[in-house]
Amino acid sequence: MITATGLTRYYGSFPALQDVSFTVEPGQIVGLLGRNGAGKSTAFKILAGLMPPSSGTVTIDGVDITTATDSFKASIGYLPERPPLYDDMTVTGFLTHLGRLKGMSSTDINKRLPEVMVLAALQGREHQVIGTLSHGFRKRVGIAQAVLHDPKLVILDEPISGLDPKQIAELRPVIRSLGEGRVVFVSSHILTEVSQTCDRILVLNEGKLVADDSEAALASRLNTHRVAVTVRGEASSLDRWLSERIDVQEHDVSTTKDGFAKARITLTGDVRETLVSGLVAAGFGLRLLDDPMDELEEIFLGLTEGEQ
Amino acid sequence: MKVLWIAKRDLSANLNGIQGWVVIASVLTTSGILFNLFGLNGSERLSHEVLQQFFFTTGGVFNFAAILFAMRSFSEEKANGTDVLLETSPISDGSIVFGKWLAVMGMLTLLAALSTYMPALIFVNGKVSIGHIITGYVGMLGMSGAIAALGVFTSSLTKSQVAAALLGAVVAGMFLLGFNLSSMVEPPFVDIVERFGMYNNNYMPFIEGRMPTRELVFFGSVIFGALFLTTRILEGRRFR
Repeated sequence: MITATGLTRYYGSFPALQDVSFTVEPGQIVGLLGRNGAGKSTAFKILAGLMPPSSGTVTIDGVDITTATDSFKASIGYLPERPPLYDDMTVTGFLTHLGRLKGMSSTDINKRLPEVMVLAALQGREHQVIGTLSHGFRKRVGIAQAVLHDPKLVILDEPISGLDPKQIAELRPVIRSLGEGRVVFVSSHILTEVSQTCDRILVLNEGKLVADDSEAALASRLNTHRVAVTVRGEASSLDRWLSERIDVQEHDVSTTKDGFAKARITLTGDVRETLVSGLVAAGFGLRLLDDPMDELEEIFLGLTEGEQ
Repeated sequence: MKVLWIAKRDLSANLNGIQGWVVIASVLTTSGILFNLFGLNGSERLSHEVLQQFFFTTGGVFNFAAILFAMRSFSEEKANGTDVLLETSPISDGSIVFGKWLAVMGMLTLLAALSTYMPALIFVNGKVSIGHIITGYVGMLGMSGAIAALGVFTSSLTKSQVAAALLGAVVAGMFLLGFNLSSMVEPPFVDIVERFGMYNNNYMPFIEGRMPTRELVFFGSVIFGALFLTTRILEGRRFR
């Protein structure tokens, strides 16, 4: 079990992380979301034991990682955004070297290597020189080095950044499988990826933890829904009609190149059906109703904008 | 044991890439030319004088090699982001630093082994003792080991290998040639500044075939001090 209590980190007088607390049970994959500068990397560096907090503690099964011995580092696996790889080594050579540094015996390394190759979907690449691997396979080798020593905590910072959609789809089950029996932290700029991969989401904003729950629970906390509608009719009429509705929080109307009126609307609650029937009843010819962003993106913006 | 794995990794990086071999080839070529110019310059000489000349010129070239081998120790890891692998492994900072230095010493030892053909020629064609040759190499590796430690220290300060090498050359230059400033300093500092003459003060007895404990301790002290400072740099980085 990973427990963070009152994590705070200052850079000079700037608070990069403020009083962040959470507990994560083994088997959970936790997504860490936040805008640039929200404190994600700082949080990950503290969790990885690369940086001590200014105050607060992180414990793994009750052991404080900031005061633990060097040998306790073997409980943690860390993949930074840019995979740390020795380009001149082969995949097997690299992982064997890392296993030795992590304190594994030759027997353990030989037993674990085939498992990790399967886990990271690296079969057939064992003897390839890392410098010749594609970006997607480099990420996989990075993941393999993070889990080779079977750590209790795995931290993956932007594991899918820079990958094409096919590579992302291939890596998704790899990340999902890491959660078996251990705690996995994942950060990503691609919010849908967090939605599909993680069991739980922590949202950081300006160094503070502003949300900690499942995606569904977070969505229910925000009683708003955003839609975009395109109708046949005058933009001014649509604007006036939307202004009179009490279930419309905000709206922004424009005219499309085809001469239709288009509005981006923030609704109080999920009243899309009422909105559509109202539009039709008011004589607007409905052409398109669209979610302008996915639900997680909406949650993220709602939480971080709400804090500002 | 982990120290040896770190050293082995760095040695492999040097030997698998072109950079290490370029340095080795350059050093052997330069020391060969210098030996030819100053050791075998045609005038009548005793063979032990020729051997001394070999160690004098080759020692200087080895110091450059030490800086060039050491410059990548931490700079390259930082530039490539692979320093994270070491920092997140259950290894003490002191062991990491020692492993890096050992790798540089491995390269210098290889270089020394490849340069033995020159003293071997003197041994075969002249009259010098094997003890004199061994002593010379011990002094040369002691001095270049100290310079390597200073190079490892400067490589921990920057992610640029070029900057690390230049900084290392300046620091090493101070240790090697600092005694030249002694005429500009008043007592009691003159005694301190004169000690900064590793080449002329500490290395010279080895060239002459002597192996004073005092000078070995001096080289050891410089190595320990530089590696200790490097360890402090690594530890301090986490608290920024």
